[in-house]
Amino acid sequence: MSAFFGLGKTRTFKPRKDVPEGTKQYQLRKYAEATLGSGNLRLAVRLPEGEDLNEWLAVHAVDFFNHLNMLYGTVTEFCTAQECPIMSAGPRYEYLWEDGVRYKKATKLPAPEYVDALMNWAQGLLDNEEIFPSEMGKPFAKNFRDTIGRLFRRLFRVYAHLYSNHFDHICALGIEAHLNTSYRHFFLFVNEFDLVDKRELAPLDELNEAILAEDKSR
Amino acid sequence: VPKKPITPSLATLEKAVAAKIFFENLYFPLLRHPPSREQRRVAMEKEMAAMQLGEAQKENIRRRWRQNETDYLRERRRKVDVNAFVKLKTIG
Ligand SMILES: [Zn+2]
Repeated sequence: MSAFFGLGKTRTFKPRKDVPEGTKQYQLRKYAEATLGSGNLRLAVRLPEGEDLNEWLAVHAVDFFNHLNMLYGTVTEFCTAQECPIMSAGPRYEYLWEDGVRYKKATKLPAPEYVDALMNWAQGLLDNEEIFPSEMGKPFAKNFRDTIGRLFRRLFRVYAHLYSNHFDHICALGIEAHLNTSYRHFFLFVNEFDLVDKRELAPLDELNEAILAEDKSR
Repeated sequence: VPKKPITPSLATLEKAVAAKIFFENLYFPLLRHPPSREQRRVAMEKEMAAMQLGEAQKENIRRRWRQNETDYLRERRRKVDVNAFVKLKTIG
């Protein structure tokens, strides 16, 4: 399973070199300044003293999954196969889906189908008692950290799609501060525990840098 | 490029309001200073100081407190209600 996903890492993420960088990122950065409250999220992501790292990773995985469910749920009527015929993060990055079950090969999917497949896959992991034990005292599997990495890498893609293709919709619905706060929290968490490869985070690089810079200037 | 006007349906507006409430309820307390877990820890330390416990007893209580916090995280994860999962869209 993990060997398979290791391959997926390079095959399902396609940065396109032929599309120039636009001003979209700048726009994003400007609007991404709106957040809920000014409290320190960097502090909130840190592993509390004496806490079990896996328990901390697991509860956050569930939290961010729920955030994305909520957030993506608000744009489902805009994210259609016509409007988003491929799963992408702007014109420069496209994603292919591969789960080894229904899609054995990296496959181009319209964004709504891709997100549906991704969220169902994630739900399957979170509900799997062997991977995310819910019984008190039951230990996590040895490879839990790898699973978490895969999960966060994929969840990132949904944030990236929301920002790149649906930020106008999010703004029209008045929930940009909510998305921004959730993403900041997600990114600072990923950054704190080094969960996702830098290359994968590239679609939101400017935003990520702004989050880190702002965090330092506190 | 002329932009298409955005006219969300009532169902979408309802989902947006639900998301607003969800995130505000989540982040307003989380971003409070100091964070709630730290508040609980400080309260425990204060209580132990008032009770004039020995260092070994204190360490014992701290250990139990940490276990309690861990159990709380697991409990929180378990409570992910199925209702919160809005089925996104079923593929055809
Ligand atoms: Zn879309």
